[in-house]
Amino acid sequence: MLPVGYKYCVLLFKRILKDGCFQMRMKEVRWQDFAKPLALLPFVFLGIYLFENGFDFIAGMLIFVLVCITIAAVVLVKE
Amino acid sequence: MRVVFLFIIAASVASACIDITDGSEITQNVQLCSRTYDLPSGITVRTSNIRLDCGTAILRGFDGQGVGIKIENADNVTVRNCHILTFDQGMLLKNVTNSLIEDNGLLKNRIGIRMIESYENTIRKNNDRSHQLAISAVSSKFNVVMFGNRDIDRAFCEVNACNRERDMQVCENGDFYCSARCSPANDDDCGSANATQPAPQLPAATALASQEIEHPAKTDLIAPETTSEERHVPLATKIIIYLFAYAIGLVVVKRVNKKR
Repeated sequence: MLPVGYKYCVLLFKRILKDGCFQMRMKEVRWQDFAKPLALLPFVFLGIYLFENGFDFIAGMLIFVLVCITIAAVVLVKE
Repeated sequence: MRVVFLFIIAASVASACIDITDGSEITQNVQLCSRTYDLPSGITVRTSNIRLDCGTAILRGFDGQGVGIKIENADNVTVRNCHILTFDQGMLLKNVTNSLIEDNGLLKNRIGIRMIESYENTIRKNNDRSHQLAISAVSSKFNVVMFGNRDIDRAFCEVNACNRERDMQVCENGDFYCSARCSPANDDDCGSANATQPAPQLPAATALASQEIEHPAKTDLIAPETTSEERHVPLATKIIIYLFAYAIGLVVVKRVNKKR
């Protein structure tokens, strides 16, 4: 049993894909633009973990690893 | 021949088991025969320094009501190898200290083990499959709880040791409990005349305890214990937070690209 409005959503999605303006925009965008925001997600995970469990050994390890990776990434990108 | 005869008698005496009836009270060391007992009213232990070995017997309740094994006002009681099922509460420890509950199976009860004003008990190697809670504690501290098949939540574990042994400071002022290990010098709750006995019960706690026993089916009475200071983010909220963070990241990346 499909949810109500399913067909309408599919049609709308197809229409957006066929839209010329959308296609022009998509040509300008690279896959890296979508990949870069993924770097935020580990920090979000850390925030939720800290909220749920408080500061403990695992949280300390996570913070340490994340900080190391972030510093390394920033240094490598700058070089 | 005589030696063999004596050996057989000694072995039979040593392995003698007894059958229990519904509502019976255990007053001495007991080994139950390994069979299934239908006990709608459960069994009761009110005597200190005794050992109850069920020998893998099954204690079965009726329609999820009543208490399987009720231990009250006792010290140093050992209960092991019991399989307790279909009760409202598998075990109820009320005003029990320094007791050992181990190698038991708790199945299809609403609450596996409930403790009321019980201190310094060890509950270990029990397997639990309760409908609602594995363990519930009201005014109970310094207990060690280690289930064989599950971990216990954090709110309960602040005043009890959960999932592993932990060194607890039992001589704590103002908790209305005086451990046998404490003295008036290091615990204000230990009166000079009553140094080794548990302190008088809290009126509020007693009222709550009696209320709970009278109305065991009320689920709201145990709700605060599991939810207090429990920080849990629902899965849907987590997904929304992740998506929102990703969207913010997309916007930031887009703006950075535009500036370049």
